Amino acid sequence: MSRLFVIGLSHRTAPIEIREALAVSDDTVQSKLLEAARLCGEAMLLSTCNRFELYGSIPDGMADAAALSAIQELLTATRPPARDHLYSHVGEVAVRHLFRVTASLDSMVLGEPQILGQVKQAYALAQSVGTVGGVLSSTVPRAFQVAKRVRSETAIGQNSASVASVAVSLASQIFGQLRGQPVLLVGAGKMAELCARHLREAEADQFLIVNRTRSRAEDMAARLSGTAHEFHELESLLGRAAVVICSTGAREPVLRKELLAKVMKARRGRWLLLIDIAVPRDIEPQVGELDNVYLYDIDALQAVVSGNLSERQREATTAEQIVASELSRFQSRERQEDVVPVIKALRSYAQGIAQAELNKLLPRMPALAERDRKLVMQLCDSIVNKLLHAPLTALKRSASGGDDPQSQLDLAEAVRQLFPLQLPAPQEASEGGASPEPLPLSPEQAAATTERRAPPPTETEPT
Amino acid sequence: MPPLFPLTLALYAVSCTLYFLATAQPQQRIALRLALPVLLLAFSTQALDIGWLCLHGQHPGSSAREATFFIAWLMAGAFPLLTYRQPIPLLGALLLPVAMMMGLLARLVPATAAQPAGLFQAGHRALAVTHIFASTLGTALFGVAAAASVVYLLREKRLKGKLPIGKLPLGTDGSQPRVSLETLDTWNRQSISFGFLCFTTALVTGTVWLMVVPQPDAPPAGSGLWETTLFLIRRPQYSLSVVTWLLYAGLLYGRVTVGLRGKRAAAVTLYGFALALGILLVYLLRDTPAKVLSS
Repeated sequence: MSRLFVIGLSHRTAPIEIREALAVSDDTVQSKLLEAARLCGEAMLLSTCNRFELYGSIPDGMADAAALSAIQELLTATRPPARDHLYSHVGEVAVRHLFRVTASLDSMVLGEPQILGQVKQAYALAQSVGTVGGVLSSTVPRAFQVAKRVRSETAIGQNSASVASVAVSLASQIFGQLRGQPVLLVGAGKMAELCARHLREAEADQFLIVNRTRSRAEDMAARLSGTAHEFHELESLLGRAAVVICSTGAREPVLRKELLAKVMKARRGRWLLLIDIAVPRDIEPQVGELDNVYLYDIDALQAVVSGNLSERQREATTAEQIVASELSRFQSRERQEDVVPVIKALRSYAQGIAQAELNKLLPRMPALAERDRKLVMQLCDSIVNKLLHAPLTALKRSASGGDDPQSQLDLAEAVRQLFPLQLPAPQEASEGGASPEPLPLSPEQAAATTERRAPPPTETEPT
Repeated sequence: MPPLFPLTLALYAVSCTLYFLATAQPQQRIALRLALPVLLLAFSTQALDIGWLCLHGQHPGSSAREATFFIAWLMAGAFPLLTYRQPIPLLGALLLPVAMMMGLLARLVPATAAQPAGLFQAGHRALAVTHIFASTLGTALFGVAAAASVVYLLREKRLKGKLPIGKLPLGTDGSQPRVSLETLDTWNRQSISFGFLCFTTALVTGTVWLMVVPQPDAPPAGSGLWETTLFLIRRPQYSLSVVTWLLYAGLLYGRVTVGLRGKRAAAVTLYGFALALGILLVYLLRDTPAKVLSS
């Protein structure tokens, strides 16, 4: 069984001050990884604005509590208050946690896409430092596959979850490519700028900024690589723009239906997306009645966001089922891998006996023709295979997941006890670059490992 | 009946069902993945059928029935061409059933031995083939424009109604860009522009054919414009064709002059396609023997 562990904190367990305090810079990640690997053999550090987690493997022969305690000490040595916010999971719970985190089921914004990239980055860094061993190399790539499956089989990441991203999504649905589509910002508010930045990420490249205070328009234009314009140019700018984002502080509507009707005539019916994020509203609601004009005020945008988030929440149920089924498959495969050395050793043991007996017998029968010698050897092979067929089948069946995992372990153990098998050492059996054996502890760390008692090893995540 | 037609029909039915499933359940991408290969298979078997019919003298220009069968084939073929980059299952769910029903209708109409008087008589064969081919292609293109218009209207309604974006029955997965309103409108414009060109050719060649080939009810030589006009109007397919032509001409003129696009253009397109289907129906009924209709 996998001995993966995770210890860390997230937006669910710790306020931002604590998360900030634990966050590590790029320069110090490597040293942290090496220190952690010295304690537990493998390490991967996931540090994002909402999460700080260390994944690793607990070496054979080391108690869960001792290992977790040592890692906890390492992570919070300079920030003791963070200890109260840490959670830790071992084995199956840790694997499930990793799958859920990577699939964005544990994110602050459910289904956000960045977390997968962040886990990939953390894994790549751990690989480059050389702290990835058999456990991480078998578990983390599996988590990537689970995340991919969740994203492709559910709509958890499809619907925009913020006002700014809804604006981008609307613009894409009307215009397709945003490159070459002018975006007009009426008012130089922060929210408008945020929307504009999202649009720029979606390849919008022309920004026209109008504000009553010219200097603010120029500042924003500089930040967005756009152009500042005077307020009296508004009508002509409306004729050019494809997307208009309004966020002025005006008490009365800035864009009225009469003006927009005139503008639409001049535009010859070209589509116009109006995003009104001002309160009080900058655009008369009747403007939305015009043909080919799509008006979304802040309430409409929020309604879309809420609807999308509810949709994501519904999709999360399916995603959790995918995670559960993938976890089950993963465990089944792990169990099979655990039993493979026993099967190999048993086969090798039986074949060794047969070969030894053949070596004794054949020299005593010099008159035996080559063809008959082959027949005798085939006979031995056949006897070995037939004798082993039933026990090997039972071992494989028990490892395939249908039976109780404990009985599978018992069966493998029984085989080990019944036959003097030579099983490969753990490091030979494991894959990956790093050694599963822990690196030597410093005297202080060794003392900490033996003296300190760790918190309960599993399911300690505060609610 | 062409030998592969039952198979073709079954494949179209499966493909339509898959596109319906892909529209209703966008996350189940298996339906969308299977739909296109099945459609291409159906398209291929129908092509073989058309080839077989041609070998037996029933080429698309030989009767309204074969022309309808050919239009159905063209419409089915247009779908993968339009959407190979940006799958729109909804478009498939709308266009393919129409194509399938047209194909089925064509095969249900009994074969008629009697072709319109003098259709392929010596000297006018090129005229007849041009007329039938142009009208066939034009109707198929109007069908494509109509399907794009329905998709446009559904999307526009959702956008105007500010419904959750995720509920839009378009697109298949996050990685695929959804087809925008602008793109749908462009498809509409392009299909109608080419379709109009074909339809104009068909109308002109049809008029010339009526003039040059002796008709039993033709006005006597030297008749005035009014008699000639009445002679043409008495043929419902001709009147409908002229109305359809005027509608699409108005749409294209509106697009060029006052920027008629979007919802209104989509609505006009649908009216136009309904008229084009009406013309096809008139031809099919005309070619159907009276005894079949009365039975």
